[in-house]
Amino acid sequence: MASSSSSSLSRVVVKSSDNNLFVVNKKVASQSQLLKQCIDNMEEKGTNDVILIPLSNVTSNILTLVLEYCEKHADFADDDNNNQELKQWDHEFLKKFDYATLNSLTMAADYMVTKSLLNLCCQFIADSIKDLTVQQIRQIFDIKNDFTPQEEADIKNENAWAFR
Amino acid sequence: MATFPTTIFAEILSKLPVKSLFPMKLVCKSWYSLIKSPYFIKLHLNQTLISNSDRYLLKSSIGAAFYYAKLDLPHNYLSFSTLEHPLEYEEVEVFGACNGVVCISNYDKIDVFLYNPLTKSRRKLPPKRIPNPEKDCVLFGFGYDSKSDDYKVLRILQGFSCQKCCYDEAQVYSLNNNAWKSVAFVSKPYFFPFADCHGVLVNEGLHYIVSSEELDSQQRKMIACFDLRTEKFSLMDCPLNDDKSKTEWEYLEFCVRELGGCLAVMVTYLVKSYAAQMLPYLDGDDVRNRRLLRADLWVMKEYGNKESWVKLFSTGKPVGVKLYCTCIRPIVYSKDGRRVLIDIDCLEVGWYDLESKTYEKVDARGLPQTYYDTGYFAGSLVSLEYKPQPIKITKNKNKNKNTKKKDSDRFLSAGFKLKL
Repeated sequence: MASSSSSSLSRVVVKSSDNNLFVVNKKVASQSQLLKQCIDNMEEKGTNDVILIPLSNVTSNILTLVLEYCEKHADFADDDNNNQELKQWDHEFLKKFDYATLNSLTMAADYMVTKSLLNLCCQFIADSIKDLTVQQIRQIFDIKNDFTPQEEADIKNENAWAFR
Repeated sequence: MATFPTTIFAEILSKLPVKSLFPMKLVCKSWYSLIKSPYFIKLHLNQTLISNSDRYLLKSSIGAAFYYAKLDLPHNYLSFSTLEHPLEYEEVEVFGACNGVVCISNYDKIDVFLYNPLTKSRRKLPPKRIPNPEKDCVLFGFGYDSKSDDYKVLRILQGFSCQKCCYDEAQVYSLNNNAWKSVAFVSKPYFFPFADCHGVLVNEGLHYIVSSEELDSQQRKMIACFDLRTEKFSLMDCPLNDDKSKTEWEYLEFCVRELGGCLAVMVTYLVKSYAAQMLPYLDGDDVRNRRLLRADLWVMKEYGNKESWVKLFSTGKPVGVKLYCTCIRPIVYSKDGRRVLIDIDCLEVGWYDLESKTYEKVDARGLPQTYYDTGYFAGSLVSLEYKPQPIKITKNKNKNKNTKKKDSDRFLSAGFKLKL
């Protein structure tokens, strides 16, 4: 893989919450602003050692997915955002997951500040809940209905035309 | 199953079209207050504008109701339905659209409303008198000023006597102040020659074609821009047109539009038509008096830089158009940017393909056949009622969960009280 240079880091080691280690190429790691920040900080200090970044909130199976995404996007980093092949890949990538995985992936993307992955997950979730009933949405996100029947009626009334 | 923190729910919900958000208010109290919060309304608006989604086409006419149709649907026809509005009479004139809000009036131009067609939120502007309704020309323009976070309406009044502009004034309405104030008019000798060309919003400025006696004699026009931030007029040149030696035109028309966030000018070259020679009763203004030679659509790629005018396309009467076709107006890009929706003679719309240079008429279902002005808007939750106290947003920050919940409860009950 990448050769080590004396002036900057080429690889970092990322540790998942369940203590698995992942060796990540710098270009791939830079897809996450959190990892990039760590690398930049270390480079400023002029260290040549491989650094270890612990991620206490991300399990190894989710981290694998985030890194898979980062790897793919690092390959296309120089392309414009409208690359059709990449868009297709993104869609196929998310399609495979159940809601629980999607949920953890979204949280990990948020935590690791991988904005494009966060955006992608949120868009995917938005598309999938768009036509669901209120009841189904509460179920998916485990939300309790805290409205009184009167309040509920009032809100329905507020946008009566929209519920037609 | 695990749930999300509010910030992520906000991200998810911000990606939904306005109509899908209404039922989401019923999920729980925190979603209800989130969706109603100014923070979310802005987040959602930005999201919609960046992704260029939730777009609607608008049709207004003297002879018919107000119609809208969703754009970007998988099928290739447009399905129009009537749009309720707060005006007294059925027919509507649209002065502009911005951030999901339209500025509308009846054709008398006295009662003017800002109106969000999807949420039905509205604000009636303090009415302004027109001194000589028969003769005066009243133009409007509507847009958003990011500097003062305010929506503004420009109203221009020109009085004509013997075809000469004899008095004029300009006022700006601010939504924040809910009041009109006078502003300096574009300097003489310029005047606004078109009574139905309201301000075209680009780069937080309203654009109008202006003329002067001197420009008229040279068959030229200029563009006046009213900057909503500074509330001042300035002038800029139109893109160059061909002189008569290159294109043998008899009539030359300029029309300012907005396209993909850029200032655009349609330059139309026309000649006297065969029909005009056969039918002597046609007067000079009758569209059948003219035949289209060519229409060039110019786009200013970099706002304010006159070197950046680019000719996006140039077309004669597109193949397949059965109308006279003297008036071609761009409306909006297709989502992929490869086609432009164009309006022909205010009677039909269709996609002009920038690559193949072909035209395909779009079937407009549910729309009575008549002349329409066509515009578009993006769905938003922007509210035009008096702004709610900004307490909510500031209190939500740096507070623990319990206080936050109490705040939202209080806000919610306040909302209900207001309704009663």
